[in-house]
Amino acid sequence: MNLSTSSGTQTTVTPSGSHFSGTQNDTCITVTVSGQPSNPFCLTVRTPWKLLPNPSVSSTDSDTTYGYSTVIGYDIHDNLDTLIAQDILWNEVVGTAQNLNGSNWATCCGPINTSGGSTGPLRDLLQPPAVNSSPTPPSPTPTFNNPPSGATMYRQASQSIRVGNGFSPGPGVLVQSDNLTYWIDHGSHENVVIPPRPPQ
Amino acid sequence: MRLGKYLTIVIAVGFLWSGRPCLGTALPPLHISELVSQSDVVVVANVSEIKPVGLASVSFGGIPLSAQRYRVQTVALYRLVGSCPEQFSVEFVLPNSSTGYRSVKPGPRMLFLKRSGATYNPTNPYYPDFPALRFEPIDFHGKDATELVFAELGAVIASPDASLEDKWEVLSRSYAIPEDNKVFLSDLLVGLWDTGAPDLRRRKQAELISRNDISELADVCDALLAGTLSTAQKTVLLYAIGQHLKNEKAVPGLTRLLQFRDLRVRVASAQALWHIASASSIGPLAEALNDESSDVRYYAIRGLADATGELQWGPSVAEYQEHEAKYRQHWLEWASQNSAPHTHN
Repeated sequence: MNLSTSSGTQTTVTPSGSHFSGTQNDTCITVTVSGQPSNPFCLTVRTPWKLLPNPSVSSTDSDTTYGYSTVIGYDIHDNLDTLIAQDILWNEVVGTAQNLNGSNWATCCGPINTSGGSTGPLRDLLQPPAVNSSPTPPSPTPTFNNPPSGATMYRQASQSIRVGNGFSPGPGVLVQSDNLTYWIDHGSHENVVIPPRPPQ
Repeated sequence: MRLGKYLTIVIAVGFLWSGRPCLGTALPPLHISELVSQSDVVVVANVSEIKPVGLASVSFGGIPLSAQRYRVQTVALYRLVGSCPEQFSVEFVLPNSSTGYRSVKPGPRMLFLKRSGATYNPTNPYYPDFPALRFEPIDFHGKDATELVFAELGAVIASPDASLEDKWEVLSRSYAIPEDNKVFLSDLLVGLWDTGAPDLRRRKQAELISRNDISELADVCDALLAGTLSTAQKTVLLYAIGQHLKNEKAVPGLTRLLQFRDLRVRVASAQALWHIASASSIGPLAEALNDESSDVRYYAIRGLADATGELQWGPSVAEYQEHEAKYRQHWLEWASQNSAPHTHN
């Protein structure tokens, strides 16, 4: 802990360590003035742990430009498996995409850019290449079926999601790794791996 | 060998030239009060066909993207914020690559607009419009603008004239409507059983449970125990129960679910009992200490700690993984000494 000042009527306490609570209210602060200690002020030190799928904000819809748009939603839970309800920033690192099963989706139509976001809830948008991309359109042509029924992958790339920084990819607490996967009529996160243990 | 090195350099240059190799797009959260306050005009209008009117460029995360400019003609039906002519056009830009920016949709829509001279543009390119009804609601005047937006979205949910697509769109945005909004809650209940779309009905039930209205919980419990739900229906209902339900009156139903053979059902039930953390949840939580699932036992321990105020006996996940026996033993002894009260049947 760092104190902004050790005299006067007010001081700001800034935690500088990286220890997170093992039980609730296990981190206590006691102020001693002229040898007289105060009652302890106890708090719980939380940190992001994992993403939990939020199906209420996840959907696949028809899209005139891309054929379909899939939104995959998540909540963020902390080291006590409690929902972090506040908006916090997140970023993703995405590997090089691969064409799969004879498609050209990863190479036909240029990159699709992204930027960091904020949670509350976290929502990741997956869209295939634009149907009318020129000079080379995607093959096969992405489409929309309700409900989605595609069973063949056409594009895939590794993805890691971190929270605590939304301005550049890379920094932050890793909360999920997966494979961004694009099917003929929907997108998905496959091979999802969450950290088995929260930070301690 | 030299050719291989040359090809590598060409590929690398092409890769850098094409931009960042990113495929997913982060969507910003929707805050309706901010959207309203940032808009010069919020209007329900009939939106006609969308027409491309030229090329444009937009900066996205500092990267310039080529884009298409579009224009739609609209006829104002009624205004929620600001003023606008009866007929006016809205212009918006959609990048040619995926960004999450959305097109204005045709039909009756609630538009959030900024005015620049005689031109109107979406206030937020991610959320240019929402579904709306053609007719001005009763009790429309004198209400706060944000409340009016909530009421309009609720009216779409309740209306037999609104399309299923519009209702789903509203439900996908419902996280931005406060949990205690009574108008939206009552609109969710309207026509719940009239819908011919079972997925939509289950989604509405999940929304009600998320808002701690348990009027549909018995039906949901019956369906879960009977195993008659689709995977998607079950997933959305268990999410609502496990992550949002905090109504103490749900304890009897949750106790039924806690005894079911399906692990996902038991986990969701234990999570809800933890979140309720009332005296009436102590009995079923104590029984869940003997569940075969480590996850169920964890939520039982957390629930007992919260319900009794013994927070030091409610461990973090990592602490539980290392010392489960210590915490479980504590609560087993506590339960035997305190003959956990069962205030439900």
